[in-house]
Amino acid sequence: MNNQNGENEDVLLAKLLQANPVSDVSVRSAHDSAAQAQLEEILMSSRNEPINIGAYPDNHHDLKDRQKVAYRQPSRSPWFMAAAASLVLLLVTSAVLFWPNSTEPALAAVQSAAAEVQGAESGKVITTLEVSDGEFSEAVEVEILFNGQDIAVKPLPNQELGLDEFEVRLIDGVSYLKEGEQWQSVELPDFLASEASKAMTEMLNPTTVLDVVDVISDVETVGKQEIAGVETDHYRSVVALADIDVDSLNFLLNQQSGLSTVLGGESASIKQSDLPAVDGEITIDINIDDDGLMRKISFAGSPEFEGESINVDAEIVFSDLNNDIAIDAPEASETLDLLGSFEESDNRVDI
Amino acid sequence: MDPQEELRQLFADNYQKILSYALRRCSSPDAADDLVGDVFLTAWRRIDDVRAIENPLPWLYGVAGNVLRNQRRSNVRQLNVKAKMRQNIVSEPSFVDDELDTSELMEALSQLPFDDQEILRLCTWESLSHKEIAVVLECSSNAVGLRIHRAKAKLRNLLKSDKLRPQIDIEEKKAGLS
Repeated sequence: MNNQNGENEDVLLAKLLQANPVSDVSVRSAHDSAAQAQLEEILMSSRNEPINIGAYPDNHHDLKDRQKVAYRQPSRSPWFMAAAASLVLLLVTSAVLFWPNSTEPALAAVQSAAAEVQGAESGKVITTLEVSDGEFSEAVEVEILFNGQDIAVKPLPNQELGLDEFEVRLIDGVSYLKEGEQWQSVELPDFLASEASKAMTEMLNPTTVLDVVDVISDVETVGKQEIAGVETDHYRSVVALADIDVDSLNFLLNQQSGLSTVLGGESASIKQSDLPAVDGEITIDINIDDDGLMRKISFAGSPEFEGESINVDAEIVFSDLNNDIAIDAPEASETLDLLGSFEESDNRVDI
Repeated sequence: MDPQEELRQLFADNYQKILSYALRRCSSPDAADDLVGDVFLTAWRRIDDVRAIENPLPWLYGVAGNVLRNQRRSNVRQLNVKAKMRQNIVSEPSFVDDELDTSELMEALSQLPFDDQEILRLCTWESLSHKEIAVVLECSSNAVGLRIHRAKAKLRNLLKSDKLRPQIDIEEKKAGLS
């Protein structure tokens, strides 16, 4: 095995290698008559006919074009699965919302570490979310930088779904959206900018998920674990999704002022009948370093969502907390000012 | 170079590896042959793109994997390798059993999601590096490492748990493939 990461030392992979049912050298060669007949049949076919097998990767040298080719159609929409995963995480948060606080040392350490992260002025967050429906899986990795109200959300390169073609920055109340190579900017009027900025920051900043640890009650200490070269204390809590009630979910949603802004000042009000049927457990793992800072929080489980099992594996890694994080506006020459363009056209919209 | 000559060269260089890939995953030699045909037919129709690729083998594996995914959606039975089907065209593999039963390992592998199975097979049976797997699966090398780690964890959990389907199911499945 020529795996570059030393996987040949892995016992499980070594066993799998041994279980290889077909050796390359044991199959017929390209010079075999049957193989040559197959080749000639292919050569006889037209090169110009459409490829109707519906599944082929594009030229891997051209990443941008490649990601526009929708050659994989999962059995479920990845967006459905991502939405389901997000909802499950939200439900996890609400499920533990009203659990009583505890003075247990493990819980106190977790709550303190979460507060440190949420109170940080700046930082870097890498979020990985993987969801699967038992047959297909999709993974998304996003890097988020925040510094005060400024925030930059950038999916990591070479991702599925073409997600890495998009990038969002919010700087001094101006929103920048990058699609492909083109940046577009929107500068909102002052009376809107503050609230909108706050709402966007709240929605985009993953530290808001740490609300969950404010109310966790049964944290257990697992032991020591190294995260990115740093030794941490490892804690764990398991949440039963059947414990969810709609009141706690509404309370959680309304805690977020950003949502209220989106709703035009109205409160979120979800009815019990609106909730999907969710069952199962989610395991929350938390790592805290010697300085009492949370290094990682992860959520994993296979909850049943509307009767079907969906595997959820989310990981949020924090670093550079309170360090100098630079979030720069794109070059003006690369940016199309949407509202400016609108004003220049005398507020006419051609359809 | 003449496109026909290019395909002949591509075929000569990669046919055995693609056939092996297909035999490891398909339910019959005929299905494996069909998969090989689909892969090289795609390469023939995209020969202008293929010639720009320095190492086309991972690209060809990527084509094969996507064909398999589509076939699975059409409920074509496959992926469980069966010894009998290989008798006419391959020699029997030499399994090394120490503590872990190979049939149990293969059964656990077959119960993983397709993408988890595929990444473990690519890094072992096809002996691809993380960089090459990244080309096949169209993701970053870092994501490959992450996915292998997770797939291994799922496989270990399956092997440790009682979630493996009862032996009677396995026997029934084998009988169905006869």
